[in-house]
Amino acid sequence: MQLRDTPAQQRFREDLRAWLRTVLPTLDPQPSQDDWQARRAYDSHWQALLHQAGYAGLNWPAEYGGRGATPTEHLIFLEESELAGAPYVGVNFVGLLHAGPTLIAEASPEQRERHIPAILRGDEIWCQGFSEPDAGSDLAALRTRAVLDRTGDHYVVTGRKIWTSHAEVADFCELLVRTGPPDGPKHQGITWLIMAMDTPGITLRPLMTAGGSTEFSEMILEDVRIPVANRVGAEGDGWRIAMVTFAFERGTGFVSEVVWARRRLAEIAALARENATWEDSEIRRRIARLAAEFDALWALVKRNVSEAEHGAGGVPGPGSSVFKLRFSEARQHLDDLHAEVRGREALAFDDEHFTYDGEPGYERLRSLAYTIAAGTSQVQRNIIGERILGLPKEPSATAAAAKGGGR
Amino acid sequence: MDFRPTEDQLALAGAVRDVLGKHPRPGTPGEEGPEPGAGGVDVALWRDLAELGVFGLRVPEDAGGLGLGHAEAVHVFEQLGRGLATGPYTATALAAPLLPEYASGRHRVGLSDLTSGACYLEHLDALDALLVVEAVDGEAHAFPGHSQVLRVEPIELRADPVPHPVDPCVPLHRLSQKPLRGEIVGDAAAADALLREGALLTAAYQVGMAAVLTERAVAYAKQRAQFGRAIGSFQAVKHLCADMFARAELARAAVHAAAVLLDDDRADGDGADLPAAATAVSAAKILADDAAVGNARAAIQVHGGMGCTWEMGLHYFLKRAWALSLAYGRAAEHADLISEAL
Repeated sequence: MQLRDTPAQQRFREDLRAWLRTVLPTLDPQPSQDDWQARRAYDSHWQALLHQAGYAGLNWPAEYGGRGATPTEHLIFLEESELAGAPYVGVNFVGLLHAGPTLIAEASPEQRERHIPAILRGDEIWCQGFSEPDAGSDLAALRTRAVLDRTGDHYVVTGRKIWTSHAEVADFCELLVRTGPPDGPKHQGITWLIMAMDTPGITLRPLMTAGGSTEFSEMILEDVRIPVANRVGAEGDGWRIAMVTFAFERGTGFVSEVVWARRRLAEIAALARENATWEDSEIRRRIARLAAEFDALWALVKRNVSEAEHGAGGVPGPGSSVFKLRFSEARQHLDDLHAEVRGREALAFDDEHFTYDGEPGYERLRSLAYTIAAGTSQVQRNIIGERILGLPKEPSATAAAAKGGGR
Repeated sequence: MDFRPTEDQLALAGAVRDVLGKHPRPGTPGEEGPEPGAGGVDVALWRDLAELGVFGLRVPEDAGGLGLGHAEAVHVFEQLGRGLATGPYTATALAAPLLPEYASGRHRVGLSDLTSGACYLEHLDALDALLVVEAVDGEAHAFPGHSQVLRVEPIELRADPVPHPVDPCVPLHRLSQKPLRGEIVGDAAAADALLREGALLTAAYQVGMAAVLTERAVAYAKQRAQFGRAIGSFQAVKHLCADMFARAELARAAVHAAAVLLDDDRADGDGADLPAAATAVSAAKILADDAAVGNARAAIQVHGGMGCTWEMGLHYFLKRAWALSLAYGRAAEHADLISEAL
């Protein structure tokens, strides 16, 4: 049980640190988050720099152009990047963290060849078309229809998708559609398609968040024709394929966030000393208790990554649900506490360039989504209760109806 | 980096668990509790654990100990918490690295921190020696660097028994004598180390209780049926159990990190941005106290009315968790330690 780097890990860390020191000063200032073309250019430039330096697709297998790094190296990469203030993955999020890994695991050689190198270089931006207005936590209830046309070489897709981040600048969308009957078993009959975003029939409706940011859209699909050649895996196998990537993260999700939160807390403490809210022992102790929580979460990340790296099956243990649950709540407390320390200052956005990045008022509103996105806190508790603790499932509404029940 | 417990650490924990399994433990419904000897100590259990070497764990091998570290100690104390082992285990294990004659566990050593204003002594009638952390000049509160460790003969102490301690397994005496006379066995640094390591071992014990309470609540939620189905299928109950699990897991990670950082005396970091050991111990104590108290309450809630009864035994855990959350620094004190370092 130890936390120190091995000599090889230390070398990796030092090389990375040296590289970040040379490359970060060459970057332009971050563009406004509402200037989508500038954001794409900025994020793609950063991805290209990572690619040239051999840091792109760090945890991807080497045979697909990645670095084949261990989970611990991935953790080190995220830690050092955050500490150095390197740019985030940005508009490359879906391509690098979700679509790319899915294509590696499930796509045909032609599909991989077409997309993987472009994603790694930062030349191809992806968005995600999974959730629907009526299929959120219950994703498998999705209803976007895909039917084969007469020739049998295109799907014709109609439906609505929501929370489609970065859709404005995306080249492709990983799209989940229903190819099976609408009243069939809901986890079957789902198919995973690659949709080019310049296909006719796609309309985007921006969906502004409470903080005023514009990364989300609702995506309306009307008779969008997608070649059958763009199907990944078999028809009806989309649910399994969509779940494949969750194992890809290997415990490193949110690493940057923990590093960020621990630093933010130190800044809050410094501010509190400056404006004398520190004299209030309740504020002071709340800061300290949150520091304890984030230190514990940091330790839990290390535990999860160690289990992914050395444990059986190479997947993180139960710690990842626990982490998600506790981190997202702590993150909200952090932003509330920051606002409390700032007092009436917290009523003004202090961000004339609308980069949003780190602006406390914006972060406070953004953190509302933490307990909702990527599995709500309630879903996380169900996962812990059922998959880890083995508690019985709540009977589903359909099962209750089949029993002739209803209440 | 490999933050998983090692095979040896798991084996050590298993050995302690096996010993505990051979002795009656308080808090198990349908079982007779232990027959405590003088001072509330189950002497047979104490002897078996001493034989295993739990008191000399951190004492160097050439001084009669096992030469292991804090990382091993927290594995042992998590098991003691699971088994609700009762006696001056923490204090004796803390005393041994300072005074290796206690490594064998032949003597029982108590510890009282007078700098925090406490004047309660646990298990006094079972003690062969008492270590006292006190301010050098006899003040109630010690300034940093102004405390020391005193060894006192328990039979020479004037102390009154508390008729009804809240934790029925831990006899208490109220100290009615000041100043104390005894031999100085440690300086301020030794005093600080005792209290810090005591907080760590106590946190590990709390994690053990938090974990066993989760298991008991889950087992009950699976078996108890109301409204025609197991209560654990209701999300309202399931989520209580999930929160219990999360509290115990997170606190365990904090305790393990604190133990590793306390063992890691390398002054030069490898740049991995590790937190300071003292801060990590305080964080662990705060999280573990929350986990033990929170899980004891939640376990009682899941058990419904029976949870509030004596015979279900959950009250033993709640009472112990309350007592330990006041030992080796309350949450507010540890929060102050953390905030000073921020």
